[in-house]
Amino acid sequence: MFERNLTRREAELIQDAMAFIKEKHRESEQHDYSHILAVVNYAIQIAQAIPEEIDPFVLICGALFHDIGWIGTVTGFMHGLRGATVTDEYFAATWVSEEVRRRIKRVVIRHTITSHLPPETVEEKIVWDADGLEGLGLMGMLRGIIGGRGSIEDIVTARIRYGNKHFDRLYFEESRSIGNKLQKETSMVIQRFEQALETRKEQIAELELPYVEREPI
Amino acid sequence: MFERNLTRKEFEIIQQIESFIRDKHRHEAGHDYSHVLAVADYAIQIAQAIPEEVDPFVVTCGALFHDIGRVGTHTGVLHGLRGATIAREYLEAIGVSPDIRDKITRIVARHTPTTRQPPETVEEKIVYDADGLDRLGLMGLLRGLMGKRGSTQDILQDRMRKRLSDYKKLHFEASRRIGEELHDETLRVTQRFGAALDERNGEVTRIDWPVREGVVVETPLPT
Repeated sequence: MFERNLTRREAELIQDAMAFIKEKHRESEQHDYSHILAVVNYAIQIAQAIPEEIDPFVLICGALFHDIGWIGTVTGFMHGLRGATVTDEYFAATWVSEEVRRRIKRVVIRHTITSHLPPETVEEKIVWDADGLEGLGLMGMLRGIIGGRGSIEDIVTARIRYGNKHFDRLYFEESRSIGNKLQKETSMVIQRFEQALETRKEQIAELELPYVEREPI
Repeated sequence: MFERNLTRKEFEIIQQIESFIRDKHRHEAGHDYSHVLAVADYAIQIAQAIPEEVDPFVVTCGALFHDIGRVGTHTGVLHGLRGATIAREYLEAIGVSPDIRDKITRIVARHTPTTRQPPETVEEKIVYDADGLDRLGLMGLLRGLMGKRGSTQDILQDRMRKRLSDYKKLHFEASRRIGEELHDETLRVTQRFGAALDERNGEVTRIDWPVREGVVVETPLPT
């Protein structure tokens, strides 16, 4: 549960930040603005469902900025830390206190395994879960395929592994119950892809060329 | 139907081409070797199902070479003609007669709308259809999505539109029969994706902001 409501000043800053995020994520394919909004939405849902006291401003700002480190880069393997520096500069230019800024930054750093720093506070864990949930649904699957590299088989198997891995890493019971539903939806589609892949393998195993083996002359 | 069976010599040449193609397409993501083989398989299926007389050597070689022009390039805009020159050099080097060689390179050139020369002979139309069929199924959907740029929504809508036009462009009744099942299956899956997209678009307009009465967070929506 949220420990309090957003103040008017916080709500206004969040709105400004959203316009900023929307513009910056416009060019990003795999991490477009709708992904960010979906993560914000899941984060709020989880926060409302769990007993822990949550700071709404830290949580929402963390969710909004969580993938800003992807922007303008080719790979995401440093996007948590890169994103934290951008987040820090953004909020340093506002009225937000150093202490709150530090807490938001930590959410950004610790939302991804690539930072090698696991989430610790409740807000950090919520954004971690929200981001994981976004990957579990069909939209997450599509994002994975669109950005996927390698053979079709690689991509399909990578998806299955990805889904299981992210589900196992969820922190809250509430996240797992949302995740269950998403995973069911996704696994039905994955099964169809797997079947199609199998059919394809049979199809190409041997071409039925119109050739009749004859005795060598 | 095939007008005749392959001769031993032709059969051996096809095996040789197959191993060449397998090697060259190894590093292609979307147009990998399994796509080429699937197209060859569809081409044989169509040839066997139609009343027209089909040259088995020409159609099989055409199918195997059809995407060779994509290998090692970043865009496919010229892959029909590029592929035709590679196929021509290869076939010439192994001593295939100019007449047969031309029939095969025409297939490669005319299998794609990017060449702006539509297929004319029955073998050309068969490979064109076979390639279209491999796009219609789920594997085709995956290939179409991989490595694309743009928002998820745009890509998905673009795919759905294109597949419908692929289906309409098929030349033979036999192709449409094979294609119908593939198309329906893909449609069912894209509809699920579409529904998930709509649901998500709907959800983000209804974010339950933790605010007291009188305070509003207006959510800028994805455009």
